[in-house]
Order: sequence, then structure tokens, then C-alpha cells
Amino acid sequence: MKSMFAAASLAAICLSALPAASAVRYEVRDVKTDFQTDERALFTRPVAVTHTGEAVYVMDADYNEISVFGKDGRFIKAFGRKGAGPVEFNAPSAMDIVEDNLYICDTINGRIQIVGKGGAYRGGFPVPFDPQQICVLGEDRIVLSHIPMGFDGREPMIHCYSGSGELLWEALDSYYTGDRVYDAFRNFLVLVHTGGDSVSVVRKSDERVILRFDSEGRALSPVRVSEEYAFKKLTIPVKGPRKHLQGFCWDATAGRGMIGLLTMDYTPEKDLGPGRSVHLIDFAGKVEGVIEFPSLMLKVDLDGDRIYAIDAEYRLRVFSWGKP
Amino acid sequence: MKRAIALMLAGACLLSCFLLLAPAVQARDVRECYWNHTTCRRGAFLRDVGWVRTTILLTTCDVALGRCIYLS
Repeated sequence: MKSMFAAASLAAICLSALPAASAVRYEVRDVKTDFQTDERALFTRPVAVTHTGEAVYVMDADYNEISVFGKDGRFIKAFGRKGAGPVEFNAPSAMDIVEDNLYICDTINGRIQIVGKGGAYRGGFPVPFDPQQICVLGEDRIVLSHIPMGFDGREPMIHCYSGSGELLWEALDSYYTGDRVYDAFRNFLVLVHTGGDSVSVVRKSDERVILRFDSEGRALSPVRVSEEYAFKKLTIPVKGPRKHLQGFCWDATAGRGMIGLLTMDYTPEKDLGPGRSVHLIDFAGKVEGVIEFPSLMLKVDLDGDRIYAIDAEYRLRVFSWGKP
Repeated sequence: MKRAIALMLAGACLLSCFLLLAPAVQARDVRECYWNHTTCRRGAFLRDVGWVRTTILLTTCDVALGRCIYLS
């Protein structure tokens, strides 16, 4: 009897020690092959990349301009300039596209602008904070996030507005310790449109649970990302006692029913910066696959078997991806 | 690593004196200090640089804010 127990225990230990089914490795191939020479695809501060069925849009916060490319990366046109009027921006930080309209976080102007895909002004509204991220669930459900200044304690970071600028709901109180620098990192968010009526909220540090909300602000089942996807630890040089951060992702995207997390990597200077792979997470939190890039990427946008990305040299890259 | 961080922080403080203190000295009231501080933080968030460098930028913004309020 004892030997049976011993054998069963040994078998259990052996089974638990077996590696989990490993994630699929995907490779990428450049679709835009002239990325090194195409000056129109070179930016100074690219902050967002997104797509429609026909085109890819890249927003530059220095130029205050949105550049439009074909899906092969060929430059088509650009619109926008610095200012506070229609189709003028001041350090915009994010955009999303629904149907024929682009919704733009015009950050320093403290407003949301709605612009047609061709660059025609369609409307907008002011907001009482610096909008940082945007996810449009419908023309009357515009979800925004902001990073609190850290003076006033906890405050909601997710805000949903109607198309006319009426505040509909708010969610997710900020992390607050009173240390404005540390708190800012803990409050870095990425909003990702994960299917029809839901927005996923990814924290860039210290949290592997991805919260999800529907268009009415109701919490949906969260995604707890598997430990297989590791944090990257960093001690930051802030005043007072040492503070530790666990970097989670540099950027996030969604596609094929999954959330794509752009990893973080250590730089040669031991700083924590963008990485060179996207981990595809299913809604059960499992790492389904890993897309490896040839170099570091700052922004990624999944579109079926394509990925539009901004590399660390601020160039637009267009990749196809698949199994080797 | 520690020395490098200390040096970077020292550099950031000096930089704040030269670059940010000058406009801060001209601040007419505290509201302007907070406006400058907000702009400074926005710039740090948009830079997309590593987190240690972002820490230094944000710290610089805070140092400049403190100086500006003190001098107002």
C-alpha cells in the first residue's frame, strides 16, 4: 500500500514538473520593405498607430499631424497642424477610429476632436483633464483615461462620454500614495478595444489583472494573465525609501479575440524600455502565442495577419505574421 | 548603477535650474506654476523613453514646481 502511495506521489510530482503547453512562436516579415528610406514614414514623436479597413494612421505629437498610409505602408496624405482650432492639435496622445471618424485625444488643448478619415472636422468637446488614452465603443460611448496629477488623492481614471460631451460614467480610482512620480507609473494605463462592446484596461505596471468594462460601465469578467508572462522589475530613483516597480507591458493592442501585450526589456543602461515581442493573451489569461520582432517596437496595432508598428527609430513598420 | 542614477539625478536638478527655473522665476502667480508643471508632466509622458529617464523627467517637473511656488 505504502509503495502505491509513493508511486502515485512520484507520478504527481513528475506531472506537475512537466512544462505547460508552450506558446506558439510567430515570426514576422516586413511588408513595407522601404521603411529605411521612406522619409514620410519617419516621425519625431509618434504616439499612436491605428487602422481602418483601407488605411493605417500614425499620429505624431511633435508635428501635431496625422499621416495616412495604405495597408502596404505607402504614404497617402497627412492632415493636422499645431493650434487650438478645428483639425489643429497640441501634443495629441492617442486616437481611435470608428466607422468613418477618428477620435483624437488633443491632450494639451484638453479636448476630444472628431475628424473624418480624410481630415474634415466633424466636432468635438472639452474635457476637464488631460486625455491620455481613448477607446471608442460607439459614437455615443467614448471611453477616455487620464493620469491624475497626484495632488488630490484618489480619483477616477476612466471616463465615458457621449458624442456631445456629456459625462456618462466613470470607473477605476487611481493608485495614490502621495508620491507623484511613483503614483504616475502605477497609473499608466492602456485602453484596448476588445470586441464590440468592451474596453479592456491594461496597467503598465504591477498588475497582471486586465479589467474589462462594457459600454455602460459595468465590470465584465477580468482577465488574469498567466504567470508565464513575466513582470520586469525595476527600482526607480525616487525621493525617500526605494520604490520598486514591476513593468508589465509597454503597449497593448487587440485582435483575433486576444489581447496583445508588447513586452518591456532592459536597455544597456539598465533602464526599462520597450521590448521586441508581443504576447497574445486569450480571455482566460493564457499566453496563446508570441510574435517576435527583429528590433524594439514602441507601438503596435494588430490587424488580422498584419501588424503595424512604430520601431525604436520612430519608423512605421508593416509586418505580416505567422508560424515559421 | 547607483552612481549612475545619482549622477543622472544631480544632472536633472542642474538642468531644472537652468531650463525650468528661468521661466518659473517669471511666474506671476502660483497658478502659472501649476500650469508649467502640468505641461512639464505631459511632456514627460509623451516622450516614450525608459522608466528611469521618465522618473528623472517627472522629478525635474516636481523640483521646478517647488521652486516656482517658493519664488512666487
